[in-house]
Amino acid sequence: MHEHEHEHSPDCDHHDHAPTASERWLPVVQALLIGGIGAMLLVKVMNGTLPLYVHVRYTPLIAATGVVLLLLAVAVLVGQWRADPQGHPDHDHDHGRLTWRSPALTALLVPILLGLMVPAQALGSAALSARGGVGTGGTGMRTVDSLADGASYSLPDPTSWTLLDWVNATLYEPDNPRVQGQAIEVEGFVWRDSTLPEGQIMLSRFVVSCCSADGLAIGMPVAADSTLDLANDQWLRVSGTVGLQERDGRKEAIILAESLTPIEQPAEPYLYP
Amino acid sequence: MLKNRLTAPDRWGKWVADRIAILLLLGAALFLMGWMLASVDRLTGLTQSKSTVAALGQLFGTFTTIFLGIFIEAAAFLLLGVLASALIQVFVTPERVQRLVPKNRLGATAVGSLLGLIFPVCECGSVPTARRLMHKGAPVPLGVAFLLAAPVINPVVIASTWVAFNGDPLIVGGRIALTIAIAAIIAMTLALHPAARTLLRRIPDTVPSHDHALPAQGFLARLGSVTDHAAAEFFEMGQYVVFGAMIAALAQTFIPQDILLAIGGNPVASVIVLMALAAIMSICSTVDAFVALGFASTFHSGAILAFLVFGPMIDIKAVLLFTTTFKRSAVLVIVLLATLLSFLAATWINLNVG
Repeated sequence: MHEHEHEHSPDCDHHDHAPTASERWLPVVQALLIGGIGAMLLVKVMNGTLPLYVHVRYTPLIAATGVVLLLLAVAVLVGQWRADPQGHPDHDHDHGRLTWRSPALTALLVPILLGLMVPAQALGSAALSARGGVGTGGTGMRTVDSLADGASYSLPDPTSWTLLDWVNATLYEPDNPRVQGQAIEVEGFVWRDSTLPEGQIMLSRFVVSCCSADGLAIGMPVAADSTLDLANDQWLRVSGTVGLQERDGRKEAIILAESLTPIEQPAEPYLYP
Repeated sequence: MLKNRLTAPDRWGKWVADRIAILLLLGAALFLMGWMLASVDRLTGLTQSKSTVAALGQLFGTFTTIFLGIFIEAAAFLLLGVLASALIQVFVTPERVQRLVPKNRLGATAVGSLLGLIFPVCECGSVPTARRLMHKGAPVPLGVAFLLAAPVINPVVIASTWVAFNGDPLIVGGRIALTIAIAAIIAMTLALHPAARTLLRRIPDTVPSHDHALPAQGFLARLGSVTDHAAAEFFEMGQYVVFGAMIAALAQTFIPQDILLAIGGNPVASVIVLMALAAIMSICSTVDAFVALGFASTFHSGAILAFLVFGPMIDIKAVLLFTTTFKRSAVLVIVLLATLLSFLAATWINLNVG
């Protein structure tokens, strides 16, 4: 029954118009946009930048999505090419039909353009700043407290621990003798946290559960002589030992660095919980 | 039955919805502009470069990364949803739907709330599926309950909540129970409408060459029909995912979350803050438990529950997607009821359970 009720909306007056010549091209444009999104996804998969946007476990799903979208686009084009252009008696149903004015055309162009034209950028200091890292020394530092519950303290070999493992292991008991003085070697990017003592930087990483929208920043302060001229977002491999300091009345584990090696941003810049 | 005029309550709902949307958009725009200026300021101070352009470039890069993160993730699950919807459209007759589902409101609501257990979809996938089911003759309360409950009441999400919160009965049980209760209340409320089907919007027919009355014959023709429907629906709903992801990415790039999170201790304000955050972040329900875990140390359990129950039902892209399925007055009722019920339940838990 509802199929025959007409909505009272301003574009009702288009209702009985036969599609104009230029509107016959709309399905083609539609297919190109759908195919464009599929192509954008496949480009991201191929050039290895997909991990900057979504968790690596979704890579096969996104690749499949790209392929299916391309196939859909081809199917629509083929169907359009084979369809008899005069054979559309069914005008009762074309309400809401795509027109050149539909915002969908522009909207679906946005992800294609942003995906193909804007250089891929991992979440970094700008995102940290947006999350309020400046004021509090990292919301992420506080929020990761609870991740420590689920994380295992018994990882076999501390030399293979990531920054996240170390943050989890030191957050509740930074002065635990089992971690204090341990040798540590981790990678991360520089975050010049203004709440840290002079000469220290925050070695940070984003922890992503699903996509870049849920990234949490974690970090450990690094004390070294040579941190002053390091710029935000510079990736480093830091080795040294775990030390202790008190900041704002709270004990925290820090890295007493023996060497800071600038490195390229890893292909998978995020850590996964 | 031809109905060209809106009934008085519909007109009223539309009037209110129009004004509220405009006011909210204006307010949000002003707010965002303020924060953008502040963010650029902070970032230029931060990078010790005097260049506003460089700071803007970095913020734009961050915006793009968050936008594409949400869009890529949502596109995959939206595609699954529209494929399911297209398969239903082509291969399932309305008679079969009507035979399989209960007619009475209570039964339809119950089935709709639990359907996610065998039809696991998140919020991007539930909208096309629910819309198609209702247009195939499933009762409106079934569709509404499915739409609101399925993103939580499905095996994947229940398992990820269990893992994230170590089986905490208050969080895991509370999330399931509150979601079903709120979805059922909203579904029953809409079912009270004397002609609930008039709350639905028509499915815009962007597929030119097909006929509703006579489904295509032959497997290849049917397959062609599936791809046409899937493409049209992906296109139609994809635009709302784009708008939703853009708003969410803007908000995430420019609104410092620490300001919101500083309110964590207050039993009432904390609920409001996490509900706002859930709506802004628009993250997928399959992983939101891990994100909520991040708030667990600073927020009361009620607020965490509000995040986990309200977020999957109502976020920016979900509300935009609802408008493809329901008339605006019905969307308004759904959003208001979901907000109010989540807020009341979560605040009560904060004050009484802890």
